[in-house]
Amino acid sequence: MNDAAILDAYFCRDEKAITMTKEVYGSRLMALALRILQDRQDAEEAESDTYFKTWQTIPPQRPQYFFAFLAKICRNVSLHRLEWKNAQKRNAEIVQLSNELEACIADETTPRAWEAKQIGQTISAFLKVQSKENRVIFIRRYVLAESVEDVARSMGLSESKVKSSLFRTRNKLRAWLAKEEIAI
Amino acid sequence: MTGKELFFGLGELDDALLDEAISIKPQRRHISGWIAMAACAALIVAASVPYALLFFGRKGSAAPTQTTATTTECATEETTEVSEQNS
Repeated sequence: MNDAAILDAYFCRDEKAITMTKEVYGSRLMALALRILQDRQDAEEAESDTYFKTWQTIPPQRPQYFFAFLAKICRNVSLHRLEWKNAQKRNAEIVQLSNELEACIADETTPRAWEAKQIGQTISAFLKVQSKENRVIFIRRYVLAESVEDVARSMGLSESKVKSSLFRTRNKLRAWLAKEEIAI
Repeated sequence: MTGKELFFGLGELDDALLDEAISIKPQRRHISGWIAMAACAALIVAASVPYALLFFGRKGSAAPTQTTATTTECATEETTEVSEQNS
């Protein structure tokens, strides 16, 4: 079952599209939601919300990279669900990831409202000029919320190499964001 | 902008970049695996050498002992015969 067939089913408003999506990508979406929410029931609800949002979005959209599209929806749904939870109950891993990224924000940048879309575009532009390895490590860690150990395993690298790559990329991003802030 | 906003904003990343990261297939560290296997094999061989020497050494030394015994017996018989003839 390929992505084109699933997308065609969405365009025909055939409810089988959701079943097909669940069959092909359900386990990976569940794993992503579980990494963020750390709770099976919440993750299952986030996965269901992902299918619902996908159903609402396609059509008119026809994503070129279907799983990337689903993963983004699932990540956003999971993070918003996490927001509802009590601050004390928040996933420690996500708090750590946010704290690590805090270091990327230059002190001298003027505080101003950044929209998520703008942040996404700025970081996409930054990542496009990085090496493929550094880019993939950064995305797997901070977008897909994978542990350093999992990133190292999936890339065939040592954990220390992954950590040093993340450290270097964060420093470069800090400089990039400072430059962008001035440029805007 | 806060770290949390930055983390949330990463959800708006370019689909192509996300797809590239997702598409990376899990890789095994082949070289390290082979090194570990070779090290294990070397260890097993090294550990088994003394036992092998002991085992084959015993087997090898048993035959000459028997031969010696037979030779001694023969020699004794010959000596008896010679002494009988002399007397």
